Amino acid sequence: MRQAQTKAYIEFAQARTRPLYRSAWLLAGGDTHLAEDLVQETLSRMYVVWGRGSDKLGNPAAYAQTVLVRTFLMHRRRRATATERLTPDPPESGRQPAGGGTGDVALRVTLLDALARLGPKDRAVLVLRYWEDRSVEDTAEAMSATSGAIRTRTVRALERLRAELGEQAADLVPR
Amino acid sequence: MPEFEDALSTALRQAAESVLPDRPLRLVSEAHAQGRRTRRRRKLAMVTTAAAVAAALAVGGTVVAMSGSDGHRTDTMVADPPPAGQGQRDVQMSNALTALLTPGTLTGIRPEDSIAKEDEKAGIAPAAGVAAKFSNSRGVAVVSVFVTRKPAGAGLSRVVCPPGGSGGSDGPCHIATFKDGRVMVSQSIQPAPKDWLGALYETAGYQVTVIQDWLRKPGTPGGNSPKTDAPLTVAQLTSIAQSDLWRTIAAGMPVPPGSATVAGRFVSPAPWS
Repeated sequence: MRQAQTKAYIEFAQARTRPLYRSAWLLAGGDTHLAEDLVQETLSRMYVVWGRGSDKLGNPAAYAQTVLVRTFLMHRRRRATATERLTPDPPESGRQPAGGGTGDVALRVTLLDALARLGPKDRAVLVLRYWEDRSVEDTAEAMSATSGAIRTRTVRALERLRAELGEQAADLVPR
Repeated sequence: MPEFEDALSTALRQAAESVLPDRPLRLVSEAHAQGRRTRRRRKLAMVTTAAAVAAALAVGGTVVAMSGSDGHRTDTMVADPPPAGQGQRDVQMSNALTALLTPGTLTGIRPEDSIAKEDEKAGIAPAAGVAAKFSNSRGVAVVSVFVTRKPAGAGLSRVVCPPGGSGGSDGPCHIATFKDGRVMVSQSIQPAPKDWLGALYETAGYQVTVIQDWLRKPGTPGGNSPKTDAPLTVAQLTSIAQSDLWRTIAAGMPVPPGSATVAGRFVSPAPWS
């Protein structure tokens, strides 16, 4: 990679680290360790494609978000293949609520816990649609699915999230 | 539902707006380095594949697909199928470690099998081993896994945490016993609690140990309370140790003699440092 390309990549990576991390954090259900790993993996993949010419990427920022979602889904698939099991009492967890808030912290933790209990595709569809504000078509492209499948998954994922939240679902809606 | 959708969008925004990575600049530099390594490996793989295609064509060999260490599939050519037994097990061990250590980068992966003749002399059960250098956003470590098949009817070992203040075992120790007798032990060892983390998983038929030696850069704050987390958490190590992939590998190992004992195995991280 030429020096100018490398410089452009570094600038891009520095500018996109935070937005990518926020999405990764939600996808990871608040697991900061996994979020960092996902961002690093995403940015390293961006470096590989950057060498082929960043002008060919169109919108590199949107492309990076797509790479992130696919990296997350691939990670979850591999873990599932490897038959991940929970120990009876996991000794350590990287999950942390976001700092900065006061009264809403409990609700955030509840929301993150509920998200974490959803399947990875359900979580991805909700993050793409309601955090990144992506259209159904963009979400379908990012998740390598049809628009119809995304519509169906969105409805079901919302239902599952509501069920996971239980009575606290009402707290999300401002009165 | 639209009301709930709007509320979810707002709640996600409120939850994530203040979230920041601990070390954004380090994340970028690690990603940059990882990307460079991936590109180099791909270039090398292309050259190797071209040479292997020529060699295989010359001897009428076959094509097999192997999973690369970064999770991307790399086509590799071999002239003959791998021999059954230890060679095949080494490949299974490497593939299992590659599949379980993700996301992150795995380099220098190599088998660390015990030597059968020495085991026989010492009266200990042979172990299939694999080790590699692993790096992710939190740092670099040497990760090793040993799978030992237990003698028939050996039963479960009596595992206890070492008492505090006993020299090399002062770190936190956690034992989880399942209803069917399976045991999961996690332990971190001095000099700094998170420099050396191990997980041991044992069933009636086999034992798996996963050990992480954290390779810290010179000058990194250490001591007994490191401020940063090791590349792999204890939870990750215990999850890796419990994978069914190791059970499959253990099932393919010969049953050791009834008098054989199960010994601890360690790998020096020096070759990867």
